[in-house]
Amino acid sequence: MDPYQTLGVSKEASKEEIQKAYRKLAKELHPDLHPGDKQAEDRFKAVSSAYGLLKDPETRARYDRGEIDEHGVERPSHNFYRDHADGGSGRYYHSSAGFDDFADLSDLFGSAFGRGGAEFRARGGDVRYALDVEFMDAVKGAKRQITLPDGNSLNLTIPPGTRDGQVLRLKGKGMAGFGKDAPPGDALIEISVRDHPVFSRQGNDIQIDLPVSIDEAILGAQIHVPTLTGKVRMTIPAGVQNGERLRLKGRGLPSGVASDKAGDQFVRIVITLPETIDPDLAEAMRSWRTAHGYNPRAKMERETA
Amino acid sequence: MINERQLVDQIDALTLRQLRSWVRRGWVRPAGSRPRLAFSDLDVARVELICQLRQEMEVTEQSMPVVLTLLDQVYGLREQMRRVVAAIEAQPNAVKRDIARQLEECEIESSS
Repeated sequence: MDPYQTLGVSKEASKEEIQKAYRKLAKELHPDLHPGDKQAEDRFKAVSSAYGLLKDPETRARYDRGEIDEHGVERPSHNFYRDHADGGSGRYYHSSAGFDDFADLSDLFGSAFGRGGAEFRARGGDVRYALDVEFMDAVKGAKRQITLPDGNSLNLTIPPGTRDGQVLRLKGKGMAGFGKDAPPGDALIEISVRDHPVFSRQGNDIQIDLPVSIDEAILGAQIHVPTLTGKVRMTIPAGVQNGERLRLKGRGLPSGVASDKAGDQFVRIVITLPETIDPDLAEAMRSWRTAHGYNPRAKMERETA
Repeated sequence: MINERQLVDQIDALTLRQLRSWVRRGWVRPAGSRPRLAFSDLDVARVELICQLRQEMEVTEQSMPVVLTLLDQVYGLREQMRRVVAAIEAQPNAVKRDIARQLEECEIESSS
C-alpha cells in the first residue's frame, strides 16, 4: 500500500505534515491503548511502517524515484506493552481501582478477586419464586407450601400485612454453596396480592366504596359496613355528599405490619339512584323543584366566567 | 532482566535522567533497588510505551499519570474479566445458559 495514502497525506506533503499526520493516527490507533483490538494493531503497524519510510528524506526520495518499494525499509520492530502487560505477568502494574467498589463481587468470590490465597468459597445462589396470594391471606397472614423449580418444597409463612410486590426471604433455602463452610443462598419469594372486589389497600389503610340510597343520603341513616374483621354499624350523616370520605378509625390493618401506625378504613359515599325512577319520585322532585330549585354549578360557572 | 545502563542504550529516545525520574515517580517499577535495578521485559515494554506516549502522542509529563492510571485499570480489568470468563467457561452448560440469559436481561434493563 502507498505509504502516502496510509498516512493520508499528499505526495508533496512537507516533513511537518507527515509527522503531524503520523502523530494523529498514532494517538488513535496505538495498540497499547486498545488491548484486544487486533485491527488497531494492524493499522498501527502499517502507519508506523509508512512513517518509517517517509520520515527520512533520503529513503523518501528513493521511494519517490522508485528505487525501493514500500517495504524498502526495515519494519520498525515493535515490542508492544500489551503483549507483556496483558496477562498474569503484568499483574504488578494492574490496578484494581476499576472494580474495587464491586462489593458483591468480592463478597462472593473473596479470594478469587484478590489479593489473598484462601481456598475458593462462594455462597450459593438465590432462588427466585413468584407467588400469588389472595387479598385476605395477605392481610391476615397465611401458611403456604410451595414447590420450587428444583422439586423441593418449602413451607412459607406469609406474615399478616404482606404488601403486593413484597419479597419474602427464606434464609439458607436457596442453592448450596461451593467449597468448605460456604453458606447456601436464600429463597426469595415475590408476593403478588390479588385484588379484592370490595377492599383496596394503601399501606395500613383500607378503602371501600359504599353505595347509599338518596333517602339515606338526604335523611341520614345507620347502616352496616363490611370491614376486614366483619360488619360494623356506621352512621351516615344527613346531607352527606357523593364522594365524601368517612373514616372508621382503627378499622384498617393493625400497627406494626406495614407501618407503626394502625390503619383506618375510609368509606367513600356513592349515592345511587334506584334502578327505575317511579312516578311518585318523579312527581315529588317536580313539586320540590318549583319551591327549592338550586344551581349546583354556580361556583363552577363563576370560576369559568 | 537488564540494568539501567543497558536499557538506556537499547532505547534511542531515552536518557538516564528521564528513566530515573520515571522510576522515582513510580511510572516504572523495576525489581531490585538502586543502584542495582533489574528491568523485566514488561518494564522495558512499559518504558517504550511511555517514550511513545511522550513523543508520538504528545502526552505531557503532567498528564502522563492520568494516562498510566487509566491504562493500568484497563489492563487490571481485562485480567479479572479473563478470569471471570474462564470461570464461566468451566461451568456446566446449564449454568452458562443461565448466565447468558442473565446478561441479556441486564442489558434490556439498562437500555430501557
